[in-house]
Amino acid sequence: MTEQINRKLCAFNKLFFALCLAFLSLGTTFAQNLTVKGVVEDPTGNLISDATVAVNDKKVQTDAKGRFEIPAVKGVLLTVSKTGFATQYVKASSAVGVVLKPKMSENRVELLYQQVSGKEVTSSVSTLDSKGLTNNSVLAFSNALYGRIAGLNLSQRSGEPGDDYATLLVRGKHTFTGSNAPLVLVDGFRRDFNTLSVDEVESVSVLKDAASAALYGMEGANGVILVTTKRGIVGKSSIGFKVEYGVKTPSRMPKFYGSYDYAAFYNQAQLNDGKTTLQYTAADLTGYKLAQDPYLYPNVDWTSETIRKYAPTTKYSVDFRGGNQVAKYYVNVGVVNDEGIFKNSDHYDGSGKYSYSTNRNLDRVNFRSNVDVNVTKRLSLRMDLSGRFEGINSPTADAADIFNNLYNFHPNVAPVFVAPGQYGGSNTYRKNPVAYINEQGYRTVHRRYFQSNVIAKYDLSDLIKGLAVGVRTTFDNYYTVKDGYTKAYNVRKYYRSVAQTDSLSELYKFPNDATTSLSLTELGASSDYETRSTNFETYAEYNRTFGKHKVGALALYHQDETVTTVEFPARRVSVSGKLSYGYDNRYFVDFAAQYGGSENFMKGKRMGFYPAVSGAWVISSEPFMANVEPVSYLKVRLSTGLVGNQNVGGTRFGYRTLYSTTGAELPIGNPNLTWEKAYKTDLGADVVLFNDVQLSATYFNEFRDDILNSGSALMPDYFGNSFGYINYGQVKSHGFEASVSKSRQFATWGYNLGANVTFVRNKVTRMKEVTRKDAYLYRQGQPVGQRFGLEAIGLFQSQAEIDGAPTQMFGKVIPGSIRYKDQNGDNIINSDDQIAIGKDASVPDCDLGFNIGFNVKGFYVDANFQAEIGREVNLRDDTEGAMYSVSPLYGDKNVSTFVKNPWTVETAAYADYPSLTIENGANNYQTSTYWLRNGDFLRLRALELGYNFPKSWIKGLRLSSANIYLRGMNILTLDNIKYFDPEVMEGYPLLKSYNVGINLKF
Amino acid sequence: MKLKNKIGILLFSAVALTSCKDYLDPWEYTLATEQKAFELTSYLNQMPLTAYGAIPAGFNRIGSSYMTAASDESENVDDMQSIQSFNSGAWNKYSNPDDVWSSIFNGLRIANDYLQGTDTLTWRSIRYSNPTEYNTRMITLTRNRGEMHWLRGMLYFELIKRYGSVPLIKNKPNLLTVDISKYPQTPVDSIIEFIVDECDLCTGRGKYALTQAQRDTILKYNKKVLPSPYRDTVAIYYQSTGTYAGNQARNATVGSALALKAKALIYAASPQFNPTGDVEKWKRAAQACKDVIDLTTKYPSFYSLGASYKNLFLTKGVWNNEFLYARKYTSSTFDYANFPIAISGGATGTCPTSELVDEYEMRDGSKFDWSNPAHAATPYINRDPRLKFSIIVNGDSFNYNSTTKTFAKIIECWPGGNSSPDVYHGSKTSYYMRKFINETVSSNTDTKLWPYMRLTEFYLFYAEAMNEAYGPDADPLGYGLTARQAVNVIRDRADVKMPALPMGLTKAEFTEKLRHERKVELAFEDARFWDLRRWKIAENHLNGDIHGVRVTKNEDGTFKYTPNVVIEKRVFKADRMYFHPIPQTEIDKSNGVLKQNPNWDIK
Repeated sequence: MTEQINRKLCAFNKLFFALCLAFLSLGTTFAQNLTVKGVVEDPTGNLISDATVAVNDKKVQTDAKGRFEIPAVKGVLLTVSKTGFATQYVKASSAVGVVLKPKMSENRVELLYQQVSGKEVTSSVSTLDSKGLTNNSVLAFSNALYGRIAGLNLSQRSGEPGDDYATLLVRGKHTFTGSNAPLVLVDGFRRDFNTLSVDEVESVSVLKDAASAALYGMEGANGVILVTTKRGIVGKSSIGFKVEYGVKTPSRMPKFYGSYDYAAFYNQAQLNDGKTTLQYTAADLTGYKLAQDPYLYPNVDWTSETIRKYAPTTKYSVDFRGGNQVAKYYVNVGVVNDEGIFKNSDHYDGSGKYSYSTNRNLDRVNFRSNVDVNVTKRLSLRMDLSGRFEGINSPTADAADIFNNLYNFHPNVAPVFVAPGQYGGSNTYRKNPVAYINEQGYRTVHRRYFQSNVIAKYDLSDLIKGLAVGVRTTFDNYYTVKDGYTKAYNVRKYYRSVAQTDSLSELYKFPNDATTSLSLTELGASSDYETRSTNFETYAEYNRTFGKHKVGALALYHQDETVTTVEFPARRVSVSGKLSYGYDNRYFVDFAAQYGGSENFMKGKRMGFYPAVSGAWVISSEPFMANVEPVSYLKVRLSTGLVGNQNVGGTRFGYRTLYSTTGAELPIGNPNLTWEKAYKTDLGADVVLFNDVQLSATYFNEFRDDILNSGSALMPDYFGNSFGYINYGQVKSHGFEASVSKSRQFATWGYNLGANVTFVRNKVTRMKEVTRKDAYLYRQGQPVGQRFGLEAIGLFQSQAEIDGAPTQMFGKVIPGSIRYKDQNGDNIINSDDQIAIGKDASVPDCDLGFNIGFNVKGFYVDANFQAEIGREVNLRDDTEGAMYSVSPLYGDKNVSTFVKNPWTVETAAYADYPSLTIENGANNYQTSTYWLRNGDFLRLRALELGYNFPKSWIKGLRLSSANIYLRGMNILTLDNIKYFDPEVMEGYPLLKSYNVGINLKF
Repeated sequence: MKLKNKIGILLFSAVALTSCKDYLDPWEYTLATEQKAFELTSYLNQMPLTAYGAIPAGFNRIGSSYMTAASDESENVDDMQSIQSFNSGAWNKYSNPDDVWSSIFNGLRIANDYLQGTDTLTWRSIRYSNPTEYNTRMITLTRNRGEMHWLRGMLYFELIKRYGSVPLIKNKPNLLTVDISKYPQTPVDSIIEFIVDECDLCTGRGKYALTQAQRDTILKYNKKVLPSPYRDTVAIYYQSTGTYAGNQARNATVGSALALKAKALIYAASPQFNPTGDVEKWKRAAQACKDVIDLTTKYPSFYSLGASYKNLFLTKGVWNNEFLYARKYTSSTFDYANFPIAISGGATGTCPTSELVDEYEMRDGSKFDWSNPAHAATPYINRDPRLKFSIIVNGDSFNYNSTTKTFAKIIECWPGGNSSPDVYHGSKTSYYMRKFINETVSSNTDTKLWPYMRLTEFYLFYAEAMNEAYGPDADPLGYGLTARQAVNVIRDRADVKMPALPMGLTKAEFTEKLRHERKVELAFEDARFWDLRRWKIAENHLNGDIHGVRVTKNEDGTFKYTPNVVIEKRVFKADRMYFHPIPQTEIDKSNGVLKQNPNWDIK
């Protein structure tokens, strides 16, 4: 961020500056003006469009055929640049030809506190620039990263507008008590990056090893995501305008049988339970089958009654970008309106006074203003302000409740309405899904984010050449409050008497407590929550080149504080530094370290020291490689170091023994409590073949030590209390990641390809556990968060088989119930027979991403695929599974089409579901291999078809570029589950969307 | 320029070097640490309250089942309840439905913490500035300290009756430095003595007995802080003199202390803990029971036998004159959990067995007998009135009262009836529990008391001890009450009025009568499970079949009863199950200091 000048061309720079200076002072008097005409191409002769040719404050882009025209003074240097190519400098003359060489090493990479050229990077860093982000219609920023960055795993847990972000893991999980969440920094400071819009982000760097995270060492163990927002650029100011309209629909939702099948299944279950009087008579079944009377024999598809086919989203965004030698600016304003998928949610009362919606709607305005000012020749200032204001409207019930209820409510309970405006239901079935969503009033959550930076830098080159000092401060505020209106509703049941007269039952109120009113009642503001955080940093940096020796140093003091309305403030302090040395652009060595602490640990134990060392060797710059043509660039790098995780889990202030409000002594504080330590080693190589095939591969290895382990395993309970936590656990993880990309652009067409892959493995190598009965029950030796369950060995085929088998202790066992394996041979099946089953759904063995782009004559297509291989989901697990739709009848649940051929004596040969039961399904619903499914999936995250209008068409409109596109998000998913979405299996479903948009640039 | 640069450097380095020394520890002062906890008045009552919570629950002891379902009195309707593993014999050192080891020791630590932490507490700051507040706090503190002594005794009693010998920890070891090997198991006899000592201490009896003058002096000096244990001797004194009438629903009273002492001594004298049959132990227990019975003459307004057996277990509020230690529950969960399945919201819960129902005598004091055709035809007529007060049988009505309507439902246990064993969760035995159940429960704020110790039981304990020590009709020490007379007091309750036991029974005959009386009188009260163990007769009652009845309805509307239908086969392994296993994790964590109870290591 400090040096915009290419260090490699140091000598050249002097000349350039001299010339610039000469131009500034003399130019107007002595200049000889001419129009430079030229062509830009790559070494193989491909014409390069959109390259920037700049002289002084003038700037032009090359057209599709690589041509440009620019007025200049004869003999001054033109700067010709394009991302991914080495910048070239040519003297102005009437006609020039420029050859730009693609050079990976010339990419600017954002690291902590500095921006360096790709060649100098010695650590494991992946960077995604804005181009890789814009082909997205996501509203939560994290979701734009799917499939784009090797080593980064995302899991979206909901599609709910405003809460549809993904959780992140860098290279899998590394600890079983502490947090696995990477540190997210926006413009260098700890912030939530989901509050950003895709438009305002310049780049995302993922710092994965110890060396790259060392300056944030005490929080670097889980990796660091570094997001950099766009800034002003010197040149012609531009105004960009974007509009996008889209429609969303659930990617998949469970489907349910109609009333006839439901009733038949119910009777079948009763027969299985040994009942002789069945719930549904033959007349009932006929009634359902022939749909005789919608009141007597209702058959309601509750999903289609409550869920819209399509919900619209609109997005607007305007940005202003420009600047000169004194000041640069980037301003962005965005507006989003995102509607939820609930039906019949608009309530009008005529006058409009009490009109409201019960849909899940998001309204958002976000803005950003990033300003750079050179106050004096030496002093520069950066002032950034950004904010986001959200209003999220939602039904009173939580999404999880709404969907659970929707999946539970059988089709034959009642019609939606039993009379005009009168909801159907009964005393025991008051949660008519339509009413449950739309008649309970609404909530509005208001969220306000405000973020600000002020950064001052003072160049001390006059004193010591290459020295600069600076101060960085931030103030961020987040405030949220919830308000809304609540209301009850009535349902009633429809009866037909023997005399064939119809009547309605008494009214049953929901909720049925006496206090809830049937008209809207204001709730008042609640759950207000505020977070204020401030950062203060001061630093000195030194960068200088002595001949072939390049030396850099950075020293930094950091302190921050986060104050919330509910907790003691969190504070951190650190000092960090980095030393860099490079020789002849071939050998690079970095040493970085942090000495830092937080109040989470005992005085005297608070500070930790986190050093890391890394080196790189640019083999391709060696003389012996000069003639190896296919290899344009080859670098190997090695890094090793120690980073920490201060989010160790457990209780805060775990080093003290405290008393609870109930007067009991809490677990004994452990004064020795300390950080999790991550010893990381990375070995990688970056290669460019044939000038444009870029490859990067890294093997990584981590040993996480001092993971908190509950101390209760240390002290016998008869002392009445135990240690809270001890640093004991250990996890080893390792893996491999690689990425490859290639792009070519010819005069009329071009393509780009990219792919990345990540393999991760982890294992708990040390963990204190309670004494377990059998060796296979121990969690040590298993991956983090290993699922344990029973091994299903088919279905019982007869009562005789049940009688002869070990006793299953979970509930009634009937023919067709799941049979489990007796692991320890004690003839009893209980929790002691649980073995490690299946793989973690949140950490697949392998993450894959690939992008394909193709363009011809302004038309283009862009696709982004993402896949997760080696994960298993448990359909019956509360946290992962859509258990509500795979557990028919149990607890009065509905029957979904997941249930096919449940076991009966007749279907025994081909049954693929246990025998149905109403009484007690607990035996079947144990966590077991029966419910495990291969959770692998491949998803087309984004597919975009677009057209860039030719410059000639839009010139008259004063536009510099114009583009229209059609974009689909999540429109295709290939997986083995098929029945519901493999990633978001419960609650508000994951959505797919179809969008159309226009980008205009003035 | 140079000067400016220097200023710049100075400025930046000045900021950089101004590291706030206390930047990372501003919250320490606000945390509730040990030093602070005892000074905070909010903890003064809260800590004892939390400690009391360690006494194992009364209602729904195990999961949502009463403890009774692990004895021959009853069976839980739900096969999935963890209590069933007592019956199947599947409980072991890894899994024990009644595993209260940790929670009791946790309560003990809180009580020890309180006694240790408040010992030197002075509140000097308000002693002169606010003497009224100071006085209030001191009285509260003194009372709470006394109660914590009692509680330690109570918790140790709950431990030894389960586990036998356990570590006796009377202080609060510093767990950062504690040497586990210094805390092995203490013999049961020593723990009994500790319990007795705690009860004497908190009531100012035995070696802590003081004259009124001494006591007044202590009360006076107490305010100037006396060392333990002297000030604690007056603790419960307040309650019995009316200064503190007491919230019996949780707090221990003088009655609780005398009762605990007596109960501990009864157990100490019982065969399980007294294998040599030392009669002196019975004599000592008799004396302690007599002290409990004497409460009725000493403090008649606090302690007396209830007039109605029927209403005794539906007491609301906080005080019941018959209950010596009780806990108040505010919930109707227990009622609904045991309502017959035919009643809306009911879940049957406890199914009383034939082993219990058949125990109830005929009204004239003779034994009930299914082989007697007259008895078998109308088996529930003309029986000990306590049967109808405790158990619902076929044809009984259950009065259900919701806020809107009142109706009586007839409980039908025949096939096709609303509560037959064929109905889902219908009673397995065709009997339902009525004791403790408020049939007219209307809201979840109903209160009820669980009697841990009630006066009746101490008449029976007294009778047992007297019989064992001296025989059924002897009173050599002039207590004024023989064993037989004590039992008859119970049988003579106004709404029971069963014929008195005759003179001249042998000691063994009397023992049978006494055991019968305990089973009937104390049904479902968590007595039988322990009685069978301390008498060392559990293998005769808890091993083998237990029974219910089947009811069929005749065409004329009368019923036919098939007795002794086996509903479950039970397992009791006499070589180990008299004592609970110590959790294996505890054995492991103690590094061999703790020894497992006999034969639990066998798989």
